[in-house]
Amino acid sequence: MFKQQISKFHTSAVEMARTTSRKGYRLSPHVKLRKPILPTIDNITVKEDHPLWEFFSNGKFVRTGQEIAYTGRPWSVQELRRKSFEDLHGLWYVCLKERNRLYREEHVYEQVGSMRSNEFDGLSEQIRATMWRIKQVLTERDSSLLRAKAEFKADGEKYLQEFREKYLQEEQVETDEWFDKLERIQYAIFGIPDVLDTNIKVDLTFLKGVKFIGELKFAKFAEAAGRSDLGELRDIAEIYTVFEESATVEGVQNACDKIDEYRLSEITIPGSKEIQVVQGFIDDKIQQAQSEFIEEAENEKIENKSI
Amino acid sequence: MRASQILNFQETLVTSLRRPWKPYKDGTLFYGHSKTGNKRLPMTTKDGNKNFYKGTRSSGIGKFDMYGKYTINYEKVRTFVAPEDMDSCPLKPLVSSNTPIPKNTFTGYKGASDGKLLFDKVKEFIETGKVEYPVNEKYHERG
Amino acid sequence: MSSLRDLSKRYGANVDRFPHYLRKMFEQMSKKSQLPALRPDARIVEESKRFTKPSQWKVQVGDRVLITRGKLSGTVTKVAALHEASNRIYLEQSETRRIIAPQAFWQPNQDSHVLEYPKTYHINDVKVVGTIVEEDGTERDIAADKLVFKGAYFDQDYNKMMPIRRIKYNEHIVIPWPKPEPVEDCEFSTPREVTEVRTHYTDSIVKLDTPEGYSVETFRNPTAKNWSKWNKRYLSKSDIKKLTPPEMPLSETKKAMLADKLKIKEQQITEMSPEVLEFIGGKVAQHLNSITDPNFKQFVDANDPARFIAKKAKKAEEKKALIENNKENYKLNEIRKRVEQKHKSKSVKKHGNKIW
Repeated sequence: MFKQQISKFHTSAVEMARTTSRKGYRLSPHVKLRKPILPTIDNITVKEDHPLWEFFSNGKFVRTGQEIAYTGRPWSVQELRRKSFEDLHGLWYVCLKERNRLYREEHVYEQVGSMRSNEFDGLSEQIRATMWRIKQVLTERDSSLLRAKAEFKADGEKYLQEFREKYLQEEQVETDEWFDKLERIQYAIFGIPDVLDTNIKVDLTFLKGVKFIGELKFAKFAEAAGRSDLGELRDIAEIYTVFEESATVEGVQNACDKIDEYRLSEITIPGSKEIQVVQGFIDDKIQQAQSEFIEEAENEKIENKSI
Repeated sequence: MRASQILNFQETLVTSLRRPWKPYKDGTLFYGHSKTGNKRLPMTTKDGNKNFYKGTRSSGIGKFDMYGKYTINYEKVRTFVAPEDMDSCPLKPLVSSNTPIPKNTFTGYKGASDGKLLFDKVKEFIETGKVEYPVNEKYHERG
Repeated sequence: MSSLRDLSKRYGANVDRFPHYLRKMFEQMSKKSQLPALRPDARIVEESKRFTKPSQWKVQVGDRVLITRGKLSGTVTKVAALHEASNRIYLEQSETRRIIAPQAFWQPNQDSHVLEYPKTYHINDVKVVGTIVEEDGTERDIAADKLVFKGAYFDQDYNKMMPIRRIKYNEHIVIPWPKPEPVEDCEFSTPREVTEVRTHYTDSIVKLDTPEGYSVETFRNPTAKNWSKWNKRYLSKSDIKKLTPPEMPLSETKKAMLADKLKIKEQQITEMSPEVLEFIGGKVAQHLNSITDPNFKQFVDANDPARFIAKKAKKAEEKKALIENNKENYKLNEIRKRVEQKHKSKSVKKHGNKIW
């Protein structure tokens, strides 16, 4: 123990290192040892991208009172209500880092008994106001979403019925305006995005959306497509085929052809398996798209090689 | 002797700086509310009896094993989820004082966290796309 | 951060909690313990009573005012600053007091301990000066004896709503607010253009624009010692059972009394039978037909019920509409109640019953 300490700090560390250690190991004389580096501040170099520099403002030890003089005010709740989660998240960490810097500098001034530490505390309190307001806005959004869900449970069916009637009464719905509206309603109320990806997990809301949109399209276009002989859609597989196709006469015609094939197999899907089935459809489709993508990429490679 | 002379004597530099009139025995000045000071202060690490352990709330994220090695339980470690790209954030901790503070209006609703307000906004979004929030000449903004 | 300053916040005597007479004593004590040079010349006002609105201050920095009290009464100067701690103002040309400043507080180019320091003024000791233009185009200064604030407008210089300052009893004369000096943005402040950009839009009732794995609970401490306002306490079913007293059973005599009361209530006649109605109606008709006095007859004719039938029908219709309207309101209320109850019942299932 004592020997090890000597080897670190004593000037004769080189000599000591060559003598026999406790384990009886002796250093070869061919190994060249350099002189020990003294632990003074001049011998220490810190990388410029060292993470602890985040605690310093522009690499300064402490800022003066003039450098932290401020004319601004904390963010108001009304202003923060405009900002997206991404912005608020960024702002929170901007504030946190600045407060950490101020705390460090305040501590330095406090150690020498300087009254300047008060100025740092003042700015820090201003930033704290911004931070609690960020929390306030996020809490507000969360609780309003919860309450909106309760509101939808009570009045949602009525709204959907109204939308359905409006859609069925409209003469020309094969327009961009109505395509966009369908896209928006399925995203806003049922959480179905217009582009499906691997993250999607089918739940009851999703299923409800599929049923609403699928049945809506079928009710609107079944007559125009000349397929009112099909009667009502029987199970989720049939609804999903309509949901998948575009909201046009042709789309519903395509879907009806697929339903004809499906009805030959005489399978009906029970309500308990609906979620599983829809998830399966979506996964299949994503896999198909991926394999197509890989094929295309390979084809391109081959073409490049041949050239 | 006129009273003003005494007053002038009192207003010499040293006397006016040595207020209040009673210094401590060792000659240092006493500037404070009471002579006894505040005795109700929180305990430090040096106070208390042999069983008093005042931690720093800085650990408790793992355990020492029988050999004295510390193993960290990563479920107990604090995690800070910072945004991926911090440099691109244009926002700063304060706002320029040349920016007026808008006033939000919630006519017909209970307040900012009313569920009906959100549902109505979503209805509007379905009809028209992104909802605009106009600011009027009194700087009132739709909540 | 453990610092002595924070400790005094937490453990020091809070003067605001004492009654006003004790508070005055403590103020005097703290005043005594300060260096004379640092003592304020006016009493410090407690924070809840400090001015926050321009209509309370009545003046802003840069206003021309007429001093009406003290040695300098009659002079016109400008407001130099507002001293928020004492609700008083500093003037550019004002009375001074002599203070003896320790060397640590010396200003640059100061070579003596003795310093002339400006005094503060109360708002009522000055009068705001405005200019009015006469009919022949000449300008004239006037000092406002009393001011009133009526109406408000958005001021582009102050960047907020400012009340309109008028002279009392001559409200057509408006004294405009002085133009404030422009403020430059500091290093810590976000520019106005960036602040006003909207990046959050409500477009879903299913989820927010938050990433996966986020919930508001993640920025709250689940093991916090102190109760927070969002940390609601709940009673379990067994707790409620223990806390509610049982209902007392009725005694035999009380049961008998209630039964008797019910019997008597059932025996009471509440509606007249048609025979009785006919009998009374006949008697009244007989009397009215046999009237001989012409004046009284005229009065009876004027009050003939046949004349009011139309009016009555109209009233009945109105009443019907009102009842229907009430029914609708009742239905709406029921829906609202149902929403609230559903919301409540959810929380009951999760955490037991809530204490409101």
